[in-house]
Amino acid sequence: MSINRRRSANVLPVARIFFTALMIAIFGGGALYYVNAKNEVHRLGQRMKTLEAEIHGLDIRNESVMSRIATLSSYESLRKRQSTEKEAFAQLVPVSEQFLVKIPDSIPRRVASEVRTVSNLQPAR
Amino acid sequence: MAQSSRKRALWLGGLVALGFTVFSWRLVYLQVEKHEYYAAVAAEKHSTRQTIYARRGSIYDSNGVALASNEPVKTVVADGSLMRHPDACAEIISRHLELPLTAVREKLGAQKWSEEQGKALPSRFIVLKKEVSENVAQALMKELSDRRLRGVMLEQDSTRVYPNGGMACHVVGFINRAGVGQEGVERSMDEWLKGRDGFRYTERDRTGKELPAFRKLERPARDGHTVRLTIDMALQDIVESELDVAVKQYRPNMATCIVMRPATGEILAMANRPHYDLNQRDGVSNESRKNRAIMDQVEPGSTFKVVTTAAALDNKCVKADTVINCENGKWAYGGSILHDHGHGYGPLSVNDIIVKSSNIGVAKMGLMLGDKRLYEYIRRFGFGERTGVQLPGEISGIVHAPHLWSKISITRIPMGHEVGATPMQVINAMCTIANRGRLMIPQIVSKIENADGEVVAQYPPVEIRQVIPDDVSEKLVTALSEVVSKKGTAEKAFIPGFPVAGKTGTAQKTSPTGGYEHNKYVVSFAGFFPIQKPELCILVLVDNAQAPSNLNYGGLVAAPVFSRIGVRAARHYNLIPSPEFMKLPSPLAQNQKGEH
Repeated sequence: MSINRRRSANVLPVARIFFTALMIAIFGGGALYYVNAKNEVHRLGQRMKTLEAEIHGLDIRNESVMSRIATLSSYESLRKRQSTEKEAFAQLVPVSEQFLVKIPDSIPRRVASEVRTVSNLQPAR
Repeated sequence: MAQSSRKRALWLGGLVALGFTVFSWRLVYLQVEKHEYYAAVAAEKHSTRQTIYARRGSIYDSNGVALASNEPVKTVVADGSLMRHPDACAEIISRHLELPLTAVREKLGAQKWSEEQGKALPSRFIVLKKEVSENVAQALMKELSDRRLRGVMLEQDSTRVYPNGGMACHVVGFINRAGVGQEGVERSMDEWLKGRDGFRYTERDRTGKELPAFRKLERPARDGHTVRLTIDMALQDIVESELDVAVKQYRPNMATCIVMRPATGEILAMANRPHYDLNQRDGVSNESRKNRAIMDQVEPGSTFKVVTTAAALDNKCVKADTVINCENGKWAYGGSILHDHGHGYGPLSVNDIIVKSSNIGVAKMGLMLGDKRLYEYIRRFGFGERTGVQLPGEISGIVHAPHLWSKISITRIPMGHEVGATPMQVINAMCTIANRGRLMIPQIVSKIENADGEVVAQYPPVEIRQVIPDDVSEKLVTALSEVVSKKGTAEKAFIPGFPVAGKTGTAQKTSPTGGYEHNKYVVSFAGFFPIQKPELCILVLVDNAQAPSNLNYGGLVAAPVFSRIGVRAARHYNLIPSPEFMKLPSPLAQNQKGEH
């Protein structure tokens, strides 16, 4: 076998191998990426569902507590408590007339935003 | 040889081509012709339409006190096919849900006939109890889980709660099991409150679990709007407690109280007796459910005299000081005798006719006006038509047209007989006088807000018409202020520190069979204060109070209730009392003050 022939027979098709490997890497990578993306979509979907359930649970707890607060602070409930737990309301005695000081409305009411001077009603010393 | 092999090849080729043609045709048939059918079958297996339920809006008073809200609850259900130890489950369920053990066992043992298997199988959906609170449901599930018992599940649900129970029950109303408003604001504002359910198209896997990644079209739910009322629950509490005291004292068939702000027409409180608890409606009678303030009509009696007097003054038929002979309490007209209460009066000024509530005096004013003009003013004051308040079931009352009047109607209608008026119409007429002659639409809804708290609708005060001029209303206010004096019929309506104007009403009850019932009266007092700038107008109406007939008058039964409510309401609204009105005004002192 001549040298030229051997050289020609033993030459590796580097370009073809590289091209094939590249194509495999591209397609394989693409496929792996696709599978990974699909997994990610599924995982995020599950996470979304968990968070939604969590928010829903919080909403329900919030609504439940709000409703309970409304019921316990209602006038009807306070009335019932007043009749059943007298000692809890012992301090709430209606103000009788003799303890009321009636102040005549002699000072004209002013608009809140109105700018006015401060008047010193104390006599000068 | 070559020819025969070619023939065979042709046959084979033909057969293969035919086979492909048949397959192709089948493919086209399935893909094109049957496309919709198979697409639907596939979609049915995996795609589902999920409903996203909207929450019903809440109702609040003017200060943000909740009157109607939602409470999340659970429905406890069981799947009989998954239950391995029904007796143990039944014992736990019965204990937590407070149900009889036998009833739970019976429910869990329910069976359903299966056509496929040809035998009875345990029921797969058994509703054990609805509206179970979150805490009870969670405790039940924990115990079942601890003992490794399967087959019981919870379904999320919601129920409507009314934190104030029976307070303002006729105003708030309630919803039915389907979530549709039945009465009160729940009904009139149903469109705003109910919201709109949303939906979501999604896919499920083989086990029925949702695949969120494959969600498709979605429309979120729009929760119901929040309705804010003009009602002030602190004042409502005052009104209800005072009405309870009156009911305990007089045991009437019914009682009604309305508090309004004359300048705007806002209803600040509205209460009726009998009433009911909105959270426990089972077995409640229709009588208790009726909002008598707008659904019941009564003959208003003497409170109606302000309408006649206003018309006579506006038409210049009389002046405030015109003297009319009141015939010493007995006057024959149209073949019938008209009486005044008590001993009767001689000549009285128009002012005094109101102060003393003389029937004969106003009857003569009615005659001076004539039927057409009297009718016109009655209608102008809003009688005979709905006031337009945002509550369902309001009636218009009865005001007959003049051509239907009898010969004596012209003497009876001016004093509040032969007309049917709702308590709301009566107080609205009184508010018109307090509001310098301007008739307003009574408002019970203040505004509507969306879930983010933004105002989406507002209900500002609406003036219907100027019924009488300012000067006529001033003259009437002067006369009405004297009613609440030692000289008038409503001494007991006095509110220390505030000048009060008002009118009593005492009308014999009409009988359903015609005529009037003996010794049964509808007594009322409608008034407002302070008269210089009326802040509150209050009507108290008591039907058939159990009081001796000589004490069964508006001035003796309804006026004290008005006074007690007025005193507490004035404190609540920080109205500043005037020292000059700390004692009941004598007629002389009032005359010196002149007209307000």
